[in-house]
Amino acid sequence: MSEQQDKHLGAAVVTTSGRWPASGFENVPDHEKVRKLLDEAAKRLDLAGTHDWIATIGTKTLNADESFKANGFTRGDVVIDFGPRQAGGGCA
Amino acid sequence: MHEAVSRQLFDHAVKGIGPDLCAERAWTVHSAVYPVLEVGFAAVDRQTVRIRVRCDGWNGIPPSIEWLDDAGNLLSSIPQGPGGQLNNSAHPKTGRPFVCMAGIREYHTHSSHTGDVWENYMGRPGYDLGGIITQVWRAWQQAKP
Repeated sequence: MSEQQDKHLGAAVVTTSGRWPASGFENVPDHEKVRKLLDEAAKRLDLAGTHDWIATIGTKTLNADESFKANGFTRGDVVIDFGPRQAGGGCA
Repeated sequence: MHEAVSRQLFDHAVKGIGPDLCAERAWTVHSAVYPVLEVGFAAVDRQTVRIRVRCDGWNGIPPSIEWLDDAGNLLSSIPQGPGGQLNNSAHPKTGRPFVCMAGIREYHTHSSHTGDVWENYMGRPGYDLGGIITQVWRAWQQAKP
């Protein structure tokens, strides 16, 4: 698909360390991997060790190594909730 | 941990929990005055709960968590999930249900885990205050209503 035919969407990432971008949305092509946006957000929000974090839009958990399109998002504005998965638990 | 430093870390952490995040997660911040952060968790077909996160000494010691109902009354039992993080037995020190997960004070002070000290986790990704609350929220999400 050519650049001209790419669909774009607006995306923002929210974490417990803040939102990126602070207001509004980043314009991203739908063929872009979600990971690229998450990495950029982590960098801007000064987050480290986020590779195994969970990214969700609404109730859908994203595959960050796939594109927005492959995750089912090709238009509009989306807010990605990004945070650590829970550790294991249990007492003997 | 000096109280002024602890307070500064607390205030910084609370600042990161913004309105967009709360809207996405259906969180309600009921109180955020050092050393206590009280956050409500809501979800469709779930009874809304609150956690009271006591952060005295943060981040030299991990936060302590109490479970409350939506009105702010202490709960005598908490939902149970598959991961075993939410424990309904009486904690040896508090006598109350507790979160049995690294990063929580009740885990590190439980006789089963005293060898797994907070210093093993302090400063690691996901173990800042927001990350710990996120982990507790995920455990609650997976628990039975």
